[in-house]
Amino acid sequence: MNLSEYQCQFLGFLFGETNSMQLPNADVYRFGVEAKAVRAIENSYPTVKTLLGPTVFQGVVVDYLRTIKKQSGDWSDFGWGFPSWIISHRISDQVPYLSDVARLDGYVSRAERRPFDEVNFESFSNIGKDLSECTLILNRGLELFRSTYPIVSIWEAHKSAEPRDTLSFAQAKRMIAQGRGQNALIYRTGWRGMAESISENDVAVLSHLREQQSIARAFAKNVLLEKNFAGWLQDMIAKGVIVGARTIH
Amino acid sequence: MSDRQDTVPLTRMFTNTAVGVGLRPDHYQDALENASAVDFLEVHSENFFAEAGMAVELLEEISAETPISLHGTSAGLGSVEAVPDDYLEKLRRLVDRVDPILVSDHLCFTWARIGGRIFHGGDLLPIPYTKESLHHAVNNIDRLQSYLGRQIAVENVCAYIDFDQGDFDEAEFLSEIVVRTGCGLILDINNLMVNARNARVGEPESYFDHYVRSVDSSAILEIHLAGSTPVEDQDLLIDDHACPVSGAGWESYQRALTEIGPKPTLIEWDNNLPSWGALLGEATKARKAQRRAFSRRRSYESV
Repeated sequence: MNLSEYQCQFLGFLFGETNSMQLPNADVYRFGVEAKAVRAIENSYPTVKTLLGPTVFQGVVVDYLRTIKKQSGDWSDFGWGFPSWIISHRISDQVPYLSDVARLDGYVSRAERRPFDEVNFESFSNIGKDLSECTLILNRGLELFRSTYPIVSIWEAHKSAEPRDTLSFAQAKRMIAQGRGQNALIYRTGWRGMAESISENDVAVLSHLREQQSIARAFAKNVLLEKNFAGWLQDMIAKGVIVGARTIH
Repeated sequence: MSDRQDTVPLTRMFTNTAVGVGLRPDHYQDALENASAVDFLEVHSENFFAEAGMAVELLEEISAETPISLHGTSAGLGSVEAVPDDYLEKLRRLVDRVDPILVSDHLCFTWARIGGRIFHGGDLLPIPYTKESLHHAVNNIDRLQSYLGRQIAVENVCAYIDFDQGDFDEAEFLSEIVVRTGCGLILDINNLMVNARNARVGEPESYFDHYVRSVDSSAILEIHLAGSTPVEDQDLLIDDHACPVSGAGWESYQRALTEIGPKPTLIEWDNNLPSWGALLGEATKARKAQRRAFSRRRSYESV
């Protein structure tokens, strides 16, 4: 076996493509890589781990490692495709909201590793009387996510050591029974990623603003009537969701 | 293979008696408040490859006051495959951010192809010390040094696999790499001791001393000290950096210092992390060991 063949075969062994590696102690490396994979996925998807428990979680991660393998040198990159992959795993038959929860976990952990823009307060003077000539600037680091499950409540509940004792858990249970979902807004407070449930109207407004539509267009007439625009804007600026305003032509 | 290069000198220097500790997430706050207790801090480069976020911003802040040694675990310098551009780009961005005193990685492979696609093995995977391995290691080290525009250091790894055939022993292999690339070395004392123990070397102390004498001491830019744990059912020592440096480790360190002279020294502790205070206690032990070794060395020299 030449060097290239040895290296390819060793990686194949680590990822479970073959169980026969003719070198003693090769298992030490396989166990080590599996342990690192579990730690990496646990860091990015903590709610998934809490939902599944450590033993099942470990089994799922090893399945993932063997299917997807590791493609970058950075362990914190490992698992970016985990939420999509897990849909096809048998565990999702038992926990149907697992993929959406994983997606939310992933967005939160990514928000913590992405640039999060500072608010440019002076730019808000660009908002003139004609709202069709200006738009609001969204933070590049935020994410919006619609789910048919109450993912934010599930996520919130599982931050607690005793999820079942939380109000969020009760709310999630009630919403699942009613077949109701939640929309999530993911942003950062300081260095911590945050998720909160937002209304369908807010999702629509923020999505329009992300497409750089004017304030007038983003806030369709009926939405403007329902909202206290100034109060809404203050809240979004305080969270760093909206970081500025500019004129458009 | 390249000839020895005149590489760019280190941009910031540390003294030969500098003692540093590994900085891990549990100790970020301690390091911010009390980094002056150590001469430098070592971090695993890949943990700071993110574009932004707490880890990166903290490291930038800490690096303004305390020298940083960037220690990679993923370059896979012994891979037949070239270290990917994407990896090099992230490493260069980090180097630009923290202006480290040293950039280093391990003598191992991690990249290989499966079904035509390149994958990363996620660990420090051993290579045989053959001419073919040397060719690829030299190419990758050259590539990394050219990309970064600076010298790197290469560390001897703990290998749980013993290859039957080789053209060099490890010390010879590392020496060849130094000659051909102009890179520096990291002497990991624990890895050396673990390898000797796992290979059932008859006289581990002689093996260790011979190894240390065999490498070019001027190329050694950092010494690493760590603890290791026995795995009973496999009768192996595992280099898990999960406990204090052993008594034998301190003795080997002192003997190495007597042989090669003072070198910047790092205490590595990655798992079962102790308190920041306990970690600094290990650094203090290293300083004491240095003092003992240097007084002994001075007395030899005066004789």
